[in-house]
Amino acid sequence: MSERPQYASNRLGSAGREAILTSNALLSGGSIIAPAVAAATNFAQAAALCIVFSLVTYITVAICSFVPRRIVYTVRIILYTLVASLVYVPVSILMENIMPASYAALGIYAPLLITNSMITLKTELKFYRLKRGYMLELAALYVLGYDIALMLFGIVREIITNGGLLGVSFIPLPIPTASTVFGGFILLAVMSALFRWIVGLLSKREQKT
Amino acid sequence: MSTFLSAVLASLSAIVLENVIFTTAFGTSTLIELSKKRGQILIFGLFITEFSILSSIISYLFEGIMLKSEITARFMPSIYILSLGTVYIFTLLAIWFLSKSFFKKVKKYVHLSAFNCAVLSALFLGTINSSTLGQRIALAAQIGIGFAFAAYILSINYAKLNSDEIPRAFRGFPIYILYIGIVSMVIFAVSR
Repeated sequence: MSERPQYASNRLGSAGREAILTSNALLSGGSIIAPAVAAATNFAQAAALCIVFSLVTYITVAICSFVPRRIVYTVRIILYTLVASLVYVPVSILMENIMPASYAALGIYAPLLITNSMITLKTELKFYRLKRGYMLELAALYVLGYDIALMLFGIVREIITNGGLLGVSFIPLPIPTASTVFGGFILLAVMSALFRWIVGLLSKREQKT
Repeated sequence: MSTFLSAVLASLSAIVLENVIFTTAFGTSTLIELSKKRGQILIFGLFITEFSILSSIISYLFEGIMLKSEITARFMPSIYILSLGTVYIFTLLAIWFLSKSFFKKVKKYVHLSAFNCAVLSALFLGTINSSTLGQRIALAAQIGIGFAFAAYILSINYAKLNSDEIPRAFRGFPIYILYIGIVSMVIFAVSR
C-alpha cells in the first residue's frame, strides 16, 4: 500500500532534480536568455519577470495540453503562442496593479515571453509526450527552476552593480557595467559554469555513495 | 555615388553597432539553438529577415484599428502572432511547392525562425515607435540581417568554442554566452 506514494515521491524527486538542476532553463540549457540578460538587472525586476514568466508559461502550457495532437504541428505552434498572447493580457493588467514600476522597467521583454522556448519547444519535445497530471507537475517544476535561477541572477547582479542589495551597501567596489547587456551575458556565463560545476560535483558524490 | 556609399555604410553600422543580439539580447536563445545546426545558420538569418519584414507589414495594416481603444490595444500581441502565423504557413507552403527536398530539410526548424524574440521585437518596436511602414521594413530587415551577422560571428569561432581546451564547466552554453558577451562589450565600447 505504501509503495505508490513512495514511487510518486521518487518520481517527483527525479523530476525536480531534472527541472531545477540538470535541465534548468536559464543556467543549464540557456533557453530563455534575453529577458534575464537585458531586464533582470536587480531583485525587483527579476521578481517582476518571474511573476510574468510563471503565469504566462504555466497557464499556457496547461491550456494548450488540451489542443488535439492530430492538428498539424504548423497550426499547433501558432495556437500555443496565440494562447500565450491572450494569457498575457490579464497578466499585464495584474502586473500594472501590483508592481507598476518594476513591470514598466521590463519594457518589451515582458510581452516577448509569449514566445519563450518553454511554450514553443519544451511543450512538443517533452511536456505533451507525458500524461497530463505528471506533465503539469513537471511543468511547474521547470517554471520554478527558471524562477529560482532568475531570482539568484537578479540578486547577484544587483549586489555587483550597486555594491549591495535593496539599498543596503556592503561591497566597497560596485561594478555598474554589470547592469549592461554585455555585463548580463558575462555574468550569466560565469554563473552557468559555476552552476554546472556544482551540479557535476553533486552527481559525482551521489554516485560514490 | 557618395549618397549610395553613405547609405551602405549607415546600414552596415546599424547592423553591427545596433545589432539585435549584441545590444539587446533578443533571439540569443534561438541563435544558440541554431548554432547546433551549423550548416543552416545563414538560411535561418534569411528566414528571420523574411518573417520580420512580412509580418511587420501585415500587423501594420491592423494597427490602425487595434490601437483605437485601450482595450483592443492590449490584444496587439495576438495580432503579431496571427501575422507571424500567416507568414509562417505561407512560407512553408511556398517551400513545399518550390522544392520538396528543401522542405523536408527545413520543416522541423523553420518555426524557430518565426516564433522567437528577435522577430517579435521587430513588430513590438514598430508599434512602440509609431514608425511608418518604410521604417518598419527597414527595422525588420536590420534585425534579420543583424541576426545573420551575429550567427556568422558565432560560426567563425565555432571550432575554437567547441575545443577540448575549454574547461569542462564552460563547454557548450556558458562559453557561447561568454563569447557573445565579449563581442557585445566590444560593440558597446566602439559605439560610445
